[in-house]
Amino acid sequence: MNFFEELFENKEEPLKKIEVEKDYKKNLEIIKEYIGGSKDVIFREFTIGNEKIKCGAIYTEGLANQDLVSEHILKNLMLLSRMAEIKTHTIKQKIYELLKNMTISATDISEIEDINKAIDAILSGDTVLILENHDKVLVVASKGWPMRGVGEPSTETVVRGPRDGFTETMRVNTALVRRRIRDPKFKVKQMQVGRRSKTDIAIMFIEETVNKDVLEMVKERLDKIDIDVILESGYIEQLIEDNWKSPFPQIQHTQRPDVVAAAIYEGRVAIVVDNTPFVLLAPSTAVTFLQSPEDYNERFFIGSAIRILRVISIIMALFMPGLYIAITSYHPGMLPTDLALYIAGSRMNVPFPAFIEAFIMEAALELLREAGIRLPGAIGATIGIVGGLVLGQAAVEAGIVSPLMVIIVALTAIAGYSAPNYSFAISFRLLRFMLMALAGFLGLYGIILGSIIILTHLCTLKSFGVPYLSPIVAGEMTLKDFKDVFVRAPIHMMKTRPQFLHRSDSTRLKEMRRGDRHGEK
Amino acid sequence: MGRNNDRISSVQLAMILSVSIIGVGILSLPRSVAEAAGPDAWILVLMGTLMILIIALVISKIVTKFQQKTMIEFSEIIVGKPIGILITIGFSIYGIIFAAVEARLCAEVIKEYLLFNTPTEVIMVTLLLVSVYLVRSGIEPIARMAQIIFPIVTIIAILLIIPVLPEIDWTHFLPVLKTPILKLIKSLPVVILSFIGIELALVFSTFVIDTKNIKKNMYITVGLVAMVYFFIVSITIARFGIQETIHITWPTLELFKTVDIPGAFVENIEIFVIAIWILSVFMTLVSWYFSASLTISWVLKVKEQKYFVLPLIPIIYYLALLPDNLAQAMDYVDRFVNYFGIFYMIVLPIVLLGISAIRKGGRKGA
Repeated sequence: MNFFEELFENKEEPLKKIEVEKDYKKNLEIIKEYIGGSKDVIFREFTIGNEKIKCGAIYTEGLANQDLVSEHILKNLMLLSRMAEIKTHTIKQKIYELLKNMTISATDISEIEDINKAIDAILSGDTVLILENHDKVLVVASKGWPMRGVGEPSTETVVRGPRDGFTETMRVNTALVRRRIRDPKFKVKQMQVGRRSKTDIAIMFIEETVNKDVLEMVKERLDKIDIDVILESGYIEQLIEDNWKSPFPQIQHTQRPDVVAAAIYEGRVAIVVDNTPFVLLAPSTAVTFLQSPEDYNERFFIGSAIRILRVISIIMALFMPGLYIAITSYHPGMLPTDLALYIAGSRMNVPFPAFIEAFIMEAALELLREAGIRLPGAIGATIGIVGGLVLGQAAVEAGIVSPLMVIIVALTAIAGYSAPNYSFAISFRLLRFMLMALAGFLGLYGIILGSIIILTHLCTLKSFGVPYLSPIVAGEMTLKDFKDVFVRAPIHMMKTRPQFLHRSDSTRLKEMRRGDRHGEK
Repeated sequence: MGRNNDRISSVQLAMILSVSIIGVGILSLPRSVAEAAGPDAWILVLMGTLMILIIALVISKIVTKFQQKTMIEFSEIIVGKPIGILITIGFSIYGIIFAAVEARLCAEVIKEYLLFNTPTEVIMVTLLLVSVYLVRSGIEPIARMAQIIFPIVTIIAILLIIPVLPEIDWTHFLPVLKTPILKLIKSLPVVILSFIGIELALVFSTFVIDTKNIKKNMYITVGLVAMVYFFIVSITIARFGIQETIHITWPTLELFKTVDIPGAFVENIEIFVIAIWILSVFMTLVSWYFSASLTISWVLKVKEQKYFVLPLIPIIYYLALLPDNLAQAMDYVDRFVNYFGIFYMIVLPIVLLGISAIRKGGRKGA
């Protein structure tokens, strides 16, 4: 058995098996005992054919496609089966083959022996048929529930790039990715997590490019989860991440199928969770959080320039308020004399030390942001204007803060928004306050200490065994990997997949000279 | 080390050694070299580098011979158990003292240039506490940190030096070879001691996976550090002249003080330089601190070095506060660190290699 089959081999089911019995009534009783009493579970009893074989159809209203159930199952069994002229004893003996091959015109139908599995099937939208004198039940795939269509994702918007985003249905999401990867080695493995919720989870990867260690770790950690309910992929993320004490996200989440497809091609593993449009990608490093799909769609000059801009803006968002505090209160000598005098002059009426001043403004900004997200769209914009413009202006005029502080706060806010990943940007928002406190306490030295702490933390951090700062800190320094870190090299020069993911098949682009494309030699 | 945090590559070893060698010393190096050799300072640096290359060769010979063995293991094999343990204990004392020296000098510089009113104690305690975080995380994070910090420090330093270039005067180096060769050779220790830290390879090479590349990467280390030293020494002397350089406490910092970037938003670049330099000193401190706690764990045969990190803080802190002022601290450096340094950097590797070679030869003969 190869590695992948072994990894996803069905482990012994812990739930005890309830055998289906030959007695039709008893079977029905058992199922009724488990899931009866709910209005949305429908028990429809009828008889098949002229022989009047008793049959029961059980499905969940709303989860099963009712047209399919009535058109292709009930109608066929109750009416059309009467037209077929079959001998009585064959019906009794080969009823499953008959139903499967001749009567029920649904796409997927199977026979199972375990009532627990039958109940699972009913609750996930399939229709279960119980037959008289038959020791197996039939499961007809009839899933079909109201779902949101594929729409443009609200986060991670791009100017140039595909507009489709994931939805809440896992099957749709895996299909969106499959459309981009027609490789037969692309595998979608499925499992259920959650004792009560039984949430479907799909693990997607390409067998030939995936890092087997990472895949094994993902599977192992998913297996270990023993929780009653998984409502969103965030639950999974927090349960399988390497270090829960870190402010940095170690698993990327995205709403964009093109990002997932690109990651899978690079050798990463995607985890799709049912009921949420956010798909998880592992391993994720600091570099992957700074990449936006648009970097690759634009030409490389623009892509690289935007990438560098993004790195600078993250650094700005982290350090600016801290530097303001340190310079104004400890090292005014760093500034040109005119500017230092101007700042001192503008801060003359401010009754607070620089740290308090910066803290008030940054806290106000965070409040505004939070209010803007929670309020309904139209009012959110108003809050931005009222809060940002009116409050800022009034605060300066009242002499509570200096004008320079307002500029700094506004700049950090804008810079913080340029990170493509929301969770990654949030962690920097948090660390900014730590740096501000350190700057207020020890000036520039405090900022250096703060950055050392952050750097140390980033150096210790790993995402599924891959160092968080890869490839900058890779054991073997390969310049190849730097083609996609701070700059985005032209696509025809990125010949290999990222080395730091140690995947097995590294060739991304076969030998190609630029000249060939234009027909020159 | 539970989370597999104990494997580095030889490139990472080179980075750790580079940041460990460049520490407090670089601030006063131009002064001591100018004192010793006058206009021939650059020749002295080159000669010293050649000597260090030999030392690097000796050290790498030992550590490649005893692949992935710890310092206590190979010294026990070569000179017997008691002396091996003594050597290792000596190294932990050396590491503790050196860490204390780095902490104290760093605090002094920070107090002089950044925080005039903050007590030295506060600066030192904060520095030590932050270093504990990195030391406790083990060799892999230290290696990664070195990989990030070394390029940052060197690239920024080189970029900041460029505006000085129009103001330098190369005639300060004339006449060439005015100093007698004998005097140059006598003052070689000045340069050799500025490479203290290379002996950390004896301790850290046990973590290296690709042992066969250690020699090459130690040469690279020496080359990189020598380039930085050569650059700083020659430009500082060319900018200030011999006499002026001799009379400045931290000539390298004064060099950056004269930097005036045209049209720049920030004045007084040296504050910025100090900030960058703290990163480098921090790494030196961490390397010594880590080697101290590591060697202690070897002597006591404890698997985790983590447990010894926090208990060492009071000792380092106490030792760092022993000297009353900067001059006394420098004096302490000369007295203790230099003897320890010469022993572990030059004497010990040569003796160990010699004995092991003789033993091997003897075994062959027998």
